[in-house]
Amino acid sequence: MGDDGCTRRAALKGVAGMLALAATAAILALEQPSAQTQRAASPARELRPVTSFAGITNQRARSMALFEEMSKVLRHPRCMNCHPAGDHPTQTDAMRPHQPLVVRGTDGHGAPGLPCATCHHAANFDPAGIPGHADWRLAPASMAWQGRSGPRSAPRSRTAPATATAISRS
Amino acid sequence: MEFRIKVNGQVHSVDVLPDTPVLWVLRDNLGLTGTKFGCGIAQCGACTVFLNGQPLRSCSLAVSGLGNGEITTIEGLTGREGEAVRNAWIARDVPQCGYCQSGQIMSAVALLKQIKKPTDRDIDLAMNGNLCRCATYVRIRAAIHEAAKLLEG
Repeated sequence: MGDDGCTRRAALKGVAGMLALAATAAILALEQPSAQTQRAASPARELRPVTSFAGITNQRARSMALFEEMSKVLRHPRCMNCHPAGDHPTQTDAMRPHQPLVVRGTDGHGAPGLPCATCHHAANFDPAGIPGHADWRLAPASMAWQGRSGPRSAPRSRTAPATATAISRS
Repeated sequence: MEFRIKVNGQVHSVDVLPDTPVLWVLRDNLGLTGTKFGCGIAQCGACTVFLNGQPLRSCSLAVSGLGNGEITTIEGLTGREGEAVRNAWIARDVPQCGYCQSGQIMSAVALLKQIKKPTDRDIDLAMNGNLCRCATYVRIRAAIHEAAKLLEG
């Protein structure tokens, strides 16, 4: 096995790790108290192992199946809320409109006077029910996932299609 | 646990639990009661202060998350924008009950620091996280426009 094989194995490990990490994060998010008051069953809990796709011999079909599986994570409200099709994020597992009304702003960090960091800080703050991250912002408009099916969101993602293809070749 | 925090230019030492909201520390430990408790879940804006010059809902951040950041409360608000907003607020007689007004003023100053001549939409987008149960919104908007004019002169 040459460099190509190593690359495939690395990609496989990377995606498996990403899926595991995302699934763990999704499960933790469901199990820990948080801002989300309305909980929905997470499809990310039902992720299949990568090896279960080995039987799909058609490369394109396997790529699509893998991406569809991975998109269960991408479609989790925790991800989708900040990947809106417009300029307003949603919130909670019910993906209702963000309160207060906030906008994308010129750089994705909100409007002057009401940037995302007004409320969202480096870490979750459960006493107030505010989720956090060091660079809390809206995803770029080019990565709008809301309203898209899994594979249809692939052309908008910079890494996912290539990753799915790398897996399918392994 | 002891934390050293800088508020309005002064360093204070407070002994509180790490997840104590900054708002609690300001009001209960430091006696800076100009900043108000409204909802406790970052939905009303009454607790707005500045953290390193940027607006912050002080109910939404643990004191342990402050690090070396510097807090400015309504008591320590200075500068051209602060002065202009204060004068415009008085001229327009903005407050009714007044409870939300320190948060409103902090957000208005934050806006004017970034946009010197805001439009109605700029004001709405910056201020819609600050609720006023007396509905002084029309006067708030007029006062921000007036403060912008004061800053021009």
